[in-house]
Amino acid sequence: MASPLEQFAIQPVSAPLFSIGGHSIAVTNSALFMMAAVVVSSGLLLAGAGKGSMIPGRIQAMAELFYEFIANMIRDNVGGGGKKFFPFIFSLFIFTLFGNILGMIPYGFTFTSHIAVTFFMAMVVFLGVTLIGLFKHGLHFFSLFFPHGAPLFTAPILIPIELVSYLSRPISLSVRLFANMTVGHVLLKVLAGFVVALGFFGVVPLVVLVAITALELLVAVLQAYIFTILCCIYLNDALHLH
Amino acid sequence: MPVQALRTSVAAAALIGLPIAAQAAGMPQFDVKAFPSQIFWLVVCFAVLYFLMAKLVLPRIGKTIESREHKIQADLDAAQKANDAARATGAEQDKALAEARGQASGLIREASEAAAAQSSAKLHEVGERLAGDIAAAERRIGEQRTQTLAGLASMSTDIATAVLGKLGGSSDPAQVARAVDEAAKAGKP
Repeated sequence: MASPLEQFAIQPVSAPLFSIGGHSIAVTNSALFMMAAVVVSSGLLLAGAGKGSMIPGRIQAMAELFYEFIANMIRDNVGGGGKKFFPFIFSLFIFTLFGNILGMIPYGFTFTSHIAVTFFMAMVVFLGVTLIGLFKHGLHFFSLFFPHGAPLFTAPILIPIELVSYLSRPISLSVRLFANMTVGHVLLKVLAGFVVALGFFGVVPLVVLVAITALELLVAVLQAYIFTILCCIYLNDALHLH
Repeated sequence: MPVQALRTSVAAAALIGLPIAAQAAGMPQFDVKAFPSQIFWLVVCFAVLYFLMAKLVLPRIGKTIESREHKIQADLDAAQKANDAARATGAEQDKALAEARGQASGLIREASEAAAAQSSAKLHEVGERLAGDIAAAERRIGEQRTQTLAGLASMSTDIATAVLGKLGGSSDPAQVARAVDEAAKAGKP
């Protein structure tokens, strides 16, 4: 039986195209699924945005649902000043969501199950948010690390705690998504192995597999949502300092 | 939910097992050599997606939603206006109806007053004519009575003179008239 980790292997599907800083870049299965996520999501959303009729059809209703969902998320969690980040947050959600969901296709690839991808996204958000906070508030931004109204003598304890919790944000943000997607797919693979190994009695793990597949679809949507809403919350912290 | 519990336990086992497995089987996620390519494609794909969303998709959807909200608001306003107009028309109608009703009742009152005045005038006229007739009749009766009474006195004198003449007494007509007069006066209460 193949290792359940084999599905995460990154394999080139083309000859190396060029190299950047000594690293040769080829189209890989991961890259293909990123492209697929972009093409499928943009295709659906462009189709939904296309006509812009007063009474939306199915695709338009779906596109508007996404739009309103993220717009409300930003309105509720970021508030004033959050509107200019709407396209970025929206793209982040769509990219993560479609990456997670397309990964559910059997024999597919889940690029969000790779720490390199999730950590890079989390780092971009983290650094971006920190820079936004510094530009907006200057040195006052560092008051984020000391809760307003706390007694001054607690500063030696509180500031390191807040600092560590702030610095661990990109780690928790990226590991949460990566670990959830990885574990889900490992689980599916292991169960699928049981179905084959148990012969006739493989029906039992098959039923479980179907149920877990449904659960993993839920997890795929939920983790995209969690990733996005946490970015909104971090952005809110930087814009409004608690 | 048993499914979730199962998932959690397997996930926990996997999480504990993963570092070991990563070392044993070499988890592809920790293959540093594969990082640059992933990050490159991530940046490219995300940039394309961001461009498409920011320039094409989101403005269009935003415009559609906004224009729909405008339309709904305009329709609601129009409905409100129509409602107000209908209410105003209703109120006008009610006012006109009340006015007409007032006019009608005024007309009825006037007509009944006029009729009452006419009938009382006629009654008065008839009454006066009757009173005039009655007075004329009474006057006539009174005249006849005085005539009759006057005739009665002379007749009584004539009769008394005749009786006295028959009886062979003196018949001074003046004396007889005086006696008759006295008798008539004495006969009255």
